[in-house]
Amino acid sequence: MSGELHNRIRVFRAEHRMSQGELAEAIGVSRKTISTIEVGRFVPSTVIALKLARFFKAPVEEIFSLANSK
Amino acid sequence: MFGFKKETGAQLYDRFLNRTALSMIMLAVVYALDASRFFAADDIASIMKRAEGILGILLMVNLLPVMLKLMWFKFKHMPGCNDPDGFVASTFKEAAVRGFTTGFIAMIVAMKLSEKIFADWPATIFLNIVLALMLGVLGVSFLVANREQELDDNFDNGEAQ
Repeated sequence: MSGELHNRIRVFRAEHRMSQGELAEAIGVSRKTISTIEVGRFVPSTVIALKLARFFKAPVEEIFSLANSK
Repeated sequence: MFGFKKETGAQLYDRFLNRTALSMIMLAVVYALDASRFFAADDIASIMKRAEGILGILLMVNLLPVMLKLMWFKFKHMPGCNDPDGFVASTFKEAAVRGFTTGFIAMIVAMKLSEKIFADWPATIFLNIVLALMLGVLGVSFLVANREQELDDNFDNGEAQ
């Protein structure tokens, strides 16, 4: 679904030592939403992307990037 | 009040959509049975009618508890229990589009068939078939798209849940 969108959620989760379930609960989505975003199956909405960025205290483009962007 | 296990609003909303899809499939079977009764012998038709009633009860048992719990969560303003951005909600919308498209095409086909080939069949049969197809496609395509279960990486203790 999202071959062009890369994300670093797994890396950020590892840094914060969090499970998918804990991250999901923290930003108010289900674990399935987090897991499908992580594997690139689901492109998140702007709201979810911004919630993730706010939670990790990082710019959105540090978490998400286009596959061909340099 | 209702909870036996800790469930977040978003998880509950996902479960509600899963149960809704399952209910759509049950309803599709009810409509299919209703359409088939026209062609069945009386004794078989009465069994089919009873099966429709049982399916209707099962549908309510399947959906009502989760629906009430979701209403309770919304009443308590629990976060995530109206999660239109999530993966499951998005999959449900896609399945609904597929169901509507199928229903629309089936309606056109049914119109042509009722005019030219099956002119003596009552209109309710065509309506039941169209509804069964529409709801069946919605429910099945949603459950198929949603079937995989990924492992949860728990970086806290190094175990997958």
